[in-house]
Amino acid sequence: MNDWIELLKSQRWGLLESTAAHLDLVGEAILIAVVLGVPLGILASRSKGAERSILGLANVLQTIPSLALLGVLLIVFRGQIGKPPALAALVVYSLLPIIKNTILGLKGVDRGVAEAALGMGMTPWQRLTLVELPLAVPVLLGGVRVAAVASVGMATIAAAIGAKGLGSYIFRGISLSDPRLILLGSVPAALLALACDAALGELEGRLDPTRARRSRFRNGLAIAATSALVALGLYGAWGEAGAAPRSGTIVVGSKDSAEPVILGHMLADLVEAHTPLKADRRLNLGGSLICFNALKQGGLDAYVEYTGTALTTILKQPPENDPAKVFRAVSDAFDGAGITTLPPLGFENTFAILMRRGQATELGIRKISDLARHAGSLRAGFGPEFMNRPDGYPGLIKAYGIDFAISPREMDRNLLYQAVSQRSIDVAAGDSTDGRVASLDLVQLEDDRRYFPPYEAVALVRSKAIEDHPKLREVLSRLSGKIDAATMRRLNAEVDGKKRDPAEVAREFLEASGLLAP
Amino acid sequence: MSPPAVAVAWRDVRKVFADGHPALDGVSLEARRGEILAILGTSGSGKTTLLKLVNRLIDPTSGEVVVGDRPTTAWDPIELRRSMGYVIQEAGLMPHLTIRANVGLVPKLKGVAKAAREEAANRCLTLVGLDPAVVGGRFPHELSGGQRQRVGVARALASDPDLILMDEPFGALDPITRREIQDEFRSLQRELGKTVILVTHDLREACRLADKLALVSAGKLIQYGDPAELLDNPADDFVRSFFQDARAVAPIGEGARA
Repeated sequence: MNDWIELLKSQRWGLLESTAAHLDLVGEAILIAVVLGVPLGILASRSKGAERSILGLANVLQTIPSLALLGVLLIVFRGQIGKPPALAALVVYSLLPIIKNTILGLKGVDRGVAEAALGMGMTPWQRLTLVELPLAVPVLLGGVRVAAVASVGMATIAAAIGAKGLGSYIFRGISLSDPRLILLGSVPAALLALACDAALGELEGRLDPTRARRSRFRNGLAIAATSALVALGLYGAWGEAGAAPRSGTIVVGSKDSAEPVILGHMLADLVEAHTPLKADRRLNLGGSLICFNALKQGGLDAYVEYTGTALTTILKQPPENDPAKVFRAVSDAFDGAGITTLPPLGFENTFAILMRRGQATELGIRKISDLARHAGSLRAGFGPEFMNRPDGYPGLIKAYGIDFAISPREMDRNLLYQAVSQRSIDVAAGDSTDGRVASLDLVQLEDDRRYFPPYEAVALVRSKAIEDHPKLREVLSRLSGKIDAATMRRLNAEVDGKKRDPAEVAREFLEASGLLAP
Repeated sequence: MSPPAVAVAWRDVRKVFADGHPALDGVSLEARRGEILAILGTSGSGKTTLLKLVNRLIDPTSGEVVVGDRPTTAWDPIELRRSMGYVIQEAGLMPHLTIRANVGLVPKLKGVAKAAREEAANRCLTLVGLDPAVVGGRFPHELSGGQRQRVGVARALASDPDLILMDEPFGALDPITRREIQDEFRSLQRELGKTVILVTHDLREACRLADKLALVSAGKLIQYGDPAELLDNPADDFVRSFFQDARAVAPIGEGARA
């Protein structure tokens, strides 16, 4: 319990800011969706043909899975991360309920009222603005309410593309296997959804003249609650706007697990310690391609990548076993794309095939080649990236001749460690430097056929940022060669095992190594 | 020089709807200034079509309807509609507007200033027997059916038109309220000298209110004249049977309601 109070205390401002940013994101999205959706609904209500095509399109947009939509929008927004693509996604999902209810509201206008309006000599515009729209408002607001409540939930997913909000707690919680952080994000999100529902429901009732008037007390309460929501949203918008001047800010990103997040904090701390620049930390982004595209398009200025991943996943070249060759190939190719590859940080991270220590000992499995004999009974689970990349699962089973009788489960790679430890699966592919290998008492099977190429951690920096701030190269290179595998595993374990704040762990290391000293 | 005696004239009007249904087949008829013309008929007879030709909710297929000095097709429909009052069954009040705003709506469309139209609304509410101080700020759903119907009449009077169109205006009321409003309306019309065209299927209502009766059936005008004339000298068997049916049900209810 004390633990909880400590966490809440340490996160209180961050939580408030995230909630405000969340509300701002949802509020702006709903505003845009209303501005677009209501005219579309009006248009659709005027002719059958228009209704069919508009509703058809909105329906199709609604069925796109959220992660796929975010992926598509990242391409549309040319790799830009953060608020713009997140806003666009929320708008897309909000359109259908708003358009639908606009049509429903307009069609629901009483025939006698419509005839009276026509007969008394109203122009079409007057009929729309004086009669039809005001009468459609309660139904229309019902659509806005549905859209808003859904958007509060959807907006958490937008953290995968670097949008600020409560989702960042949830993603951090998942990547750090820390259920407290997940709750810290999801409980306020649920409360926010309930609050939006109540506030809009109240407004809906208030705008319906045929409903009974409310008591004074209830009116006051509703006004106070709604004002608080609006104020919080505006505070969020103000925070976003305040962060806007990019010239004095370096945006540091990271992929979504403990190690990249710790390294991201280190890069950001170095920038802030040795330059007058501010560091904007957009950590826990949803994967290599999101980070890389953002870097290429200027949405990010720096993040830590692995040379092997860069070679195979980003450059789509075949795997290569010589680390020096990989580094050269990657840095040459990236130079041409306006990205500078700084010297390696000093440790390699490679895929590790993991099992529970007890089971491995019992079955006598030490090496990956031992797996082939037991492939008939072992259940495997892998992350989506591993399942699909050429140097992942497809190559692995070929190289070792493994034939899993039960086809491997695909799950979030951050959940794999727990899944093995809790016996839902027996074999998983993790990171060799992940702290959970030790803390959950897993063993890494020996890669006896040297299948997995070694991946060196490197900082990638946008060349334009270095041009603008020449000192950046020297400052960020201070980390090069300073972190060996043992150190990295220890830092990861602090976060994964001991549930410590990655920012704190990063800072401790920098201070202990004297990297923050002038 | 006095204004022409005829307010509205239908001249050999035919109407065939888009679905091929013939609603009117060569009807000629006049509504005289300052009088109430009741168009009487069963449902589907074409009586409502005759009325909607006057405010151009419907245009004739052939023939013409003359309002004032020109055929309706020469009028701007918006201007034409604003020049006359329109009362429909259940009143068709705007549920989101107060009674005062409802009554002041046509003056508002015409650009009358707020103070002037509120004054007009209050005056018209008083005319139909409602206290503007009591009902003016209420919403339609807070009134009884009879009160709403009175508001409908007040709304039609608000911009002081010469001509008022009424489509089954009192049809949804209970017999006692209906009778009361009919009597009040009759004396109000006498007092203000408005021309009224009233569509109804209720013979008693027609006889109580109208100066002239027009009986229509299957898109044709069957007979036109004073109520007494029609009662005493029915033109044919249809008129006779219409009146007989109405008499037969009269002692039970108040007139023939469909």
